[in-house]
Amino acid sequence: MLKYVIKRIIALIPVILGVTLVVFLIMQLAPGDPARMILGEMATPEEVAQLRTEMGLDQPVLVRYINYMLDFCRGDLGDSYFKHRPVLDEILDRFPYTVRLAAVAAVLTVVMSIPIGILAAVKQNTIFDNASLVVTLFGISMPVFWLGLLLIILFSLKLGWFPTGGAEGWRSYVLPAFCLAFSNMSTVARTTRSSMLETIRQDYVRTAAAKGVPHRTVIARHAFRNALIPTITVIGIQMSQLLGGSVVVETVFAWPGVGRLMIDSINSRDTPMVLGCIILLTIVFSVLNLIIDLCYGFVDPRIKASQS
Amino acid sequence: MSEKNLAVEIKDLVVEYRTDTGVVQALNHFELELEKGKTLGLVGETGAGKTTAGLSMLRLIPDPPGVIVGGSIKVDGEEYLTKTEKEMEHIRGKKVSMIFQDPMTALNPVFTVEDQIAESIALHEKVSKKEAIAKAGDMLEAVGIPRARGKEYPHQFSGGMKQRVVIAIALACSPSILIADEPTTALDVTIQAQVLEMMKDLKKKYETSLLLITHDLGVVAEICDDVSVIYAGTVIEHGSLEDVFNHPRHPYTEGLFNSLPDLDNPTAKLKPIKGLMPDPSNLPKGCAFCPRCEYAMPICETEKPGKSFRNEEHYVRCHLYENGDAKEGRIGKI
Amino acid sequence: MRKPRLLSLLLALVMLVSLATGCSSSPSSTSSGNEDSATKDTLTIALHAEPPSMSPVDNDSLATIYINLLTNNLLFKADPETLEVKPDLCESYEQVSDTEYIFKLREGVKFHHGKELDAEDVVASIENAKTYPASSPYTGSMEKVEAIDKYQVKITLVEPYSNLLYDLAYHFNYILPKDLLESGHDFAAEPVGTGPYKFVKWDRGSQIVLEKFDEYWDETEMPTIKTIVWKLIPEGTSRTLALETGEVDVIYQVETADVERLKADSKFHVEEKTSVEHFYITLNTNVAPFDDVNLRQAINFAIDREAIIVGALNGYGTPAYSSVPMGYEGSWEGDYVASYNLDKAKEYMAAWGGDPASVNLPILCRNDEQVRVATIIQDNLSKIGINVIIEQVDTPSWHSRMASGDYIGGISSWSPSNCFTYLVRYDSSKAEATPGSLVDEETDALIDKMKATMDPDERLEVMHQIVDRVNQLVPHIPLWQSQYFRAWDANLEGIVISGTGYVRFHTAKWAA
Repeated sequence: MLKYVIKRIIALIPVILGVTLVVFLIMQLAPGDPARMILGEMATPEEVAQLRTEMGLDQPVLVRYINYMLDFCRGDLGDSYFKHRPVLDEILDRFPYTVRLAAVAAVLTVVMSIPIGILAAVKQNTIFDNASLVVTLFGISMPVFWLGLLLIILFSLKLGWFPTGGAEGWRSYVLPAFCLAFSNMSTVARTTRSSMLETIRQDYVRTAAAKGVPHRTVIARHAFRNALIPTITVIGIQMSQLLGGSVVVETVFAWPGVGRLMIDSINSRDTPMVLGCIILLTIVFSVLNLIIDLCYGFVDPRIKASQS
Repeated sequence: MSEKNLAVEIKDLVVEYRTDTGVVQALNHFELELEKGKTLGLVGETGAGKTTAGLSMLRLIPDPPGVIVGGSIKVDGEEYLTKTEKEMEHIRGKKVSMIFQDPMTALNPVFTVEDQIAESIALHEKVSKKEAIAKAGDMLEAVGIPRARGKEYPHQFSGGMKQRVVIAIALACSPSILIADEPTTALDVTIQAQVLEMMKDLKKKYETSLLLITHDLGVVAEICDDVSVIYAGTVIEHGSLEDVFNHPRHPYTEGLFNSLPDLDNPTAKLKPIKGLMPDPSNLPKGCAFCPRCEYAMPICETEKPGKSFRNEEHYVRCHLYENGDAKEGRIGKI
Repeated sequence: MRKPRLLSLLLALVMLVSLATGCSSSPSSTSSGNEDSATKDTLTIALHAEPPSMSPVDNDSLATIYINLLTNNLLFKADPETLEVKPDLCESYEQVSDTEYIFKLREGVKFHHGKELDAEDVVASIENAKTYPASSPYTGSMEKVEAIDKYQVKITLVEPYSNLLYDLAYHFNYILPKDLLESGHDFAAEPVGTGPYKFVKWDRGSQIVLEKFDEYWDETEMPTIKTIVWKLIPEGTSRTLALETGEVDVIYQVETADVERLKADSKFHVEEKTSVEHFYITLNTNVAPFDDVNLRQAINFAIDREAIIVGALNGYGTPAYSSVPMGYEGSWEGDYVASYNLDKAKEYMAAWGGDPASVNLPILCRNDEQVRVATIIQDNLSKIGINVIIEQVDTPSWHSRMASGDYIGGISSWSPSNCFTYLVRYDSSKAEATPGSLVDEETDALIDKMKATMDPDERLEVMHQIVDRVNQLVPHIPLWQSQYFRAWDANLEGIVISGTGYVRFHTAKWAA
């Protein structure tokens, strides 16, 4: 299994090379010049040219890319054009907030949606099933922005339970995490429901019941564990989205995460910062995929066999 | 009849599957008697209600859509239809066990086989987890699988081995009644014989009464003491193996035998029963077999036949026999 | 049957909840904001955008200026009301010749790290600023900066230049300590200056904390509030809500939709200011037919600014008709000012003489508000037969198209710190940066004259002449001046805001 993990990590190298090259080229092709963005529309072409030279933007793309990758190999992601500090420092300042929020949101999602999904499957076509469909549909169809503001109005302004935003103390996690979880739980609950519906009809579930296993245990141990794989897949996808930073939630709740950092950097054509964020996301996505794959193996021995 | 030592006595059992599209009459005044220590073969075509009968005894009919409408299921004199779900949990796997048709899907793919056997033991016997696992190993050996393989997962076993595991699970708590639903149908012919042989031995060893659900008369001849033939949810003929095989009274039973290849006369043409089982959601008013019956009479369309006896044990439900007397065979003679 | 009924029930429930949370301010939250204000020694300000850096020289962001206004001083500062400059770190100055100034510094001014301010710091600061290309409009006039003695600095100009004091009041020329400049201190991460507040910490993406500098030199404006916290809240409605819950005391950039609600609440003070932020349509005067002044005037007269303000800006804004915004010393509506007059527009169309149907005017817009504005312009100009095409682009694309001349029209805005700087943009040399902007010898001559005119009254007269000339040529079609809204806890006193968007927070006080 260790071999499998190492193999997967090595496979990450060409992915990072490819992704950075593509992003480098896209940033090059995108209209807008960072030097012009810094100096403003009133600056003369000479001033812009001077700044471009200082920033090294006058060199050919390929040279810049190779230099970038050489620095990258030394662990240097360069300096932000606008923030005048190392990209890595900025990312390391912001990423922990994203990770923590993502973790809390993921836990909330799981806690809210999996029981709903299981119960909806067990009580298929009952009022509970239909009600859960409606609630989770609300979650997925309600604009996160609107939901966020509603939550702030209710829980911060009216009740005064949680702060309107920021990232200080556990209270500040509650609203943004719930907001993310509420919009994510629909997919997880629906996936859990449909895979549970499939597994509770399986012969081995009947075998378990015939052994005298109590109904709840049959559902929780025999059916659910087999229904987990699609659920894990969906949670994994959502987790990687969360770790990429949710721009809307970060904006509404003034959360200092990487999502907004990346959008701001793209808008200001801050290529080193964009590249840094993209590399981070690539690594996060790959590592998460690996973790998900390992989870599959943990859940299903047949998959584990193929991984060793 | 009451002096018989019955392990299972089912009377008048009516089970329906109620769906939006209609009501399926799965069991129609079904009756069954299984004597202690004996093996009863429940024979019939696919869809005749054999599995439903087996599941009813464990009260495992999927609900919805299945509903037990009425009747009585007595095991060792205890009425099962009035038991609570909790009480049934203690019965399942302990008193009454069931082996399902397809060993390929009957085992949970995510647990080791010894865990799956031990689960049953841990539930019904006051033992530690470790003891349960040890006993699971004993059971594996009893069904001819090395103890060490208990740590493996179902996907690492062949079909025959899986069926042995399923049998080990069913027998783990030495149940007094074992229901085996087509235990060999999904297996290769060579493996079938091994498994049947093993079941026979184990049945003796554990003093279990066996209800063997099958469509295979060969298997019935191999291990059964008594035979019940089921058609469209009703037992249409019942008797000892000898009675039913040598003196079949129901046209359907005859049809079953005629559709088997005759080893003594290999050139003879097979004579399958014409037509198909009637739509179980729309059964004929009279005898359910009537539309397919060569001997059908006007009365067969309108009235359900009652029991006619050939001897104390052997009975048939057919209008060919009048006044409850079936001593004289009527089929093959007209 | 069951499903739809359940759905409608839930819908109704959600609507009820949103209604309950939407209207009526409940009394429960009222208390939290005010309770602790008597003992409060913190001022929390909601900021809409994070400063890219805290160095005064490496960027031109307003957010940086907010911080630098508290941490640093300049030789001169702009009066928030009149935008005129007054001495700050400079105690007095003397113009020795057309090109030479001598500045006398205040004595006993301390930097946050303990060093005393002297003439070498001024020299080092301006020389440092000159190394940044973006500073050139504000440092380019200075040929030489030298220390005469410990408290006197002499600045020699390249040529006679009347705007030096305004340049010295602009953020590139903030005075930084020489020793830290030489030791390579990272001013981008940690500002050090002579200002009333010193830097404590910066949680990236979240907040900036400043603390009162006890040794601040200006005793008349000694801060009373110990700590100032700048909280980054990018979303407008969230800022308003944070003010309402009492989490922040001041919000910068009040969402226009929230203005009336805050105004109606006596717990808050809403400050409203007509800014010098001047919005206009940039026209590419190199491209036919927009090289024709009659056509440009026709457009100028055909646009209904009042309708734009009502229709696209929620009613907040002041119509702009002149080529310089009102509010500066030197602002001037002029003799040739346009107003909405369709007849006049048609006269100009006739004077132009071309076929209106042949005129296509693409307008580049950078956000939804500008698109709304352009939609009204589209309607206005259709009445004189001109077809407006609305094109939305992102800011970087907009900059690159402006710089390369790949545009015909675009909605722009500018709000420099003074009138002089604004007018210099009409110099022909600016056509290098933005091809298609005005090229006119007469304007150039007037701008040169303004630069060289030292007498304030005469200079003002020249400025008016420039405005008149540009208004005649209308290279840009002025549209409106934006309205700034700032809101704060009604218990706060002494906050002063300027038309250029600057705020003085160090004079803020909690009412007793």
